[in-house]
Amino acid sequence: METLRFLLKKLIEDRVALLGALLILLLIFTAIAAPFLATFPEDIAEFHPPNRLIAPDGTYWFGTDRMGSDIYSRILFGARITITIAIIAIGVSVIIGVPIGLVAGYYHTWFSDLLMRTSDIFLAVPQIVLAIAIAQTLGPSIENIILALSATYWPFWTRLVYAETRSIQKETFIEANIALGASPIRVMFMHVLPNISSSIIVRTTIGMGGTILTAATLGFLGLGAPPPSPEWGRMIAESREFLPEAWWYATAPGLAIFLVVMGFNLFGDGLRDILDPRIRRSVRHDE
Amino acid sequence: MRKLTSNSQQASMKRGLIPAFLAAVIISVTGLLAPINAAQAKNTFVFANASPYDTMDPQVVFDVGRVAYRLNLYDGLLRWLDNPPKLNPWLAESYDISSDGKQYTFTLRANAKFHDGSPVEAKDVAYSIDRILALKKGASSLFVKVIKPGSTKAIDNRTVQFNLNKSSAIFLATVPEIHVMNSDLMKKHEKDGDWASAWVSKNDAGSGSFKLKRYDPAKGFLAERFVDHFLGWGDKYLDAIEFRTVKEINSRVLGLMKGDFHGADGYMPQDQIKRLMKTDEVNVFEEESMRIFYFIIHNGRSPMNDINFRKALSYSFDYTGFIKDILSDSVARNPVPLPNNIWGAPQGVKGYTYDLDKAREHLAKVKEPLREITIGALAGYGQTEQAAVLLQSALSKIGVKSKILSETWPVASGKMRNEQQMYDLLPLWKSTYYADPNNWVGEMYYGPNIGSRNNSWYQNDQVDQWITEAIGSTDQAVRAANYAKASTKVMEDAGGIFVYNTKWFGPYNKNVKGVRFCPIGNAQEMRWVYFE
Repeated sequence: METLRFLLKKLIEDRVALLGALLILLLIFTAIAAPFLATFPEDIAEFHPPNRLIAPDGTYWFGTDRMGSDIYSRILFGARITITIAIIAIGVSVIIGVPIGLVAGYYHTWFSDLLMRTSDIFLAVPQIVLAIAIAQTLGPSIENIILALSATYWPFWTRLVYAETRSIQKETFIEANIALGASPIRVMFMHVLPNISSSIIVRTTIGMGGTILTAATLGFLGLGAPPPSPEWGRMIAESREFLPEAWWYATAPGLAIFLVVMGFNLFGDGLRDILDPRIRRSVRHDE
Repeated sequence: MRKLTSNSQQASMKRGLIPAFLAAVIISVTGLLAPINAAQAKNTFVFANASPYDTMDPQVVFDVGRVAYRLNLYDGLLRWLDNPPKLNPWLAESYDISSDGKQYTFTLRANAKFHDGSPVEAKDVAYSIDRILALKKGASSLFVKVIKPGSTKAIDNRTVQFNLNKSSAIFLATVPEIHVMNSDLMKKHEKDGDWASAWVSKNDAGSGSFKLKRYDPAKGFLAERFVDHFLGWGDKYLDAIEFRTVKEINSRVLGLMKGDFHGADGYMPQDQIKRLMKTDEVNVFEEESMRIFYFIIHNGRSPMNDINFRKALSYSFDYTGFIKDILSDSVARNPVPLPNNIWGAPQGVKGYTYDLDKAREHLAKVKEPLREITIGALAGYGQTEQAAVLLQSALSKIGVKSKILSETWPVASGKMRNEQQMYDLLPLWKSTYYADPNNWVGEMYYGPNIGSRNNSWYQNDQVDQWITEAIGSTDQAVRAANYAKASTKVMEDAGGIFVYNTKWFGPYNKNVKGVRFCPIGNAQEMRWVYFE
């Protein structure tokens, strides 16, 4: 409770991080309340060709798309897809990456090397290229996008956890634990993990932004959700044919991606400042 | 002593390297600039093409997206020109057909020359058709059933004789697809019996109005006027043509508006055509074409093998919404698998309308078990996605679940030839390859073509009989009646969802004159074009 209050206090002091947090809250709220906020919730699967490509006005706040659907409503529902992809992909990456990093960091055997070199192989290929290759091979769908992102993101956590584990291992309290006869599993999960969790949380928050951007890229390339899904990257891809006349068509999903990615990055930076004093931003007015 | 020499040699080499490097840079830079400057000095026509030119071999490709090099670098015995398309003598000055309709004798022009200066002779024609039959690619499917390899004879230098297995009413219409290649040159470049495929995929062995100058699969090709072309040249012509690959629609449109491109394909989204029409830099030519848009239905698979299900599909497409609103009335409703404007097209056929009540009626009669169906779409061709989405939305209203699978054209065209992999439905265009009704209903719904050009796995004995009769007959009245009956029957059977027939909207720079449109080739033959 005390730490939470401390966190909140720090967060409110850090305006930029607060803005990031608000953007994230807005995204989550939008995703949950989409059916109530949307002005034309049926426009996700229903189309009105006579109304196509209408500029933003009082009825269609963000204009309409190539099928005559309300872009504002579609953006709201698109938030659900975005957040689902980001949470599952990042979740899977953390579940795979963290234990591997812990084991590889804790033990000093050939097995650690094997694990780390395997993760290096994944890190060696540019992530987006690898994700495109996987998504293209498996065929376009949201499930495959999640799979492709998880398969390419886990090594980042492995690297991080490995390095943190190695550095914390030399601490007296860990050695004391081992001397007391604690099992390796207990040491790893009860003592090492809680002490490196702040770095993992920071990495995960910033990683969310990157994942959303990569997911949108894959959607833009036609590897994501099939039409007529209101996935943001796909909406931008569809809008290209109608630029620059229908400027609102690309602007709305583009802004949505921009704000969400910015939100996660700002919040992640703020969290890092609060949780990890070692790598605090250099210029701070409150210090 | 020796060491000293080698050191000084090294030093002098190093000293020599820098100027040599600079010289190399200068040469390569000027080398790069030279063709561009030369091209700008003369009048070069630059065409922005959506599809990449992955080969220069005219006999392995048979599509409209890459037609430009076939028409401009190569000649056929005959050629389709103008709109409505007429078959014109080209390399051949005349031809004779035997009374049994099996022997076609062509007399070649005396003055036709290949780009290397050697004369076009009968042996080159015989070589070219044998090469098509041997490679089994491109247009070969038009000929394999009627011509045996080696059966084409060069009677003398100027007379070539085709001996068909059986009389074929469409043979003459397909002759323009036999692009004549320089057989002596080809044989010189042949390796391990490859019919010089490796060499000619990057080079030119033709006699066409333009001669290949530069080719890069990533960029396109540049060809210069062939001064000795047998048709001669008037006083207005282009010195060179460049067909450049420009995949993004907006780049093509902006390039046209800026004047970087002088022409582009005539099938852009109507919203972009409207935008081009507003500018002063660009003229948009409008022509009635023959290119129908339809959904292939996989008739061989359940539940689409049930006629009531297919009828339910046909009643579930919003034809008016699609044509009037999405395509701004730029196309005409075409209810049968034959363009309205070709002879043989049945007159007064109403076709299906958007009527969900009727769709539900038919759906209730379906005996096959229902399931989620897959509607394909072509990634990058927005119109196919919009059509698929529109159909999906209507189907969900009558309780038919569907999902859309948007894939690239190479992936989709591969699946189209495989009964198991083929989508349940796929929206697609069928262009003109030869101006004969057989090009549409005769290719698309003819039983013997299943798996090659009949991608619907549609088979009806009566339709097959009508088409076989039409191919065998030389009486146009009989043929027209048969194609009309066949296409009406396919429509009644709901063998596909037939949507519209296209108009061609060719955007050209305002200074471009002499564009000659033909539905075969979409005005990409440039020999009459000039700048004013």
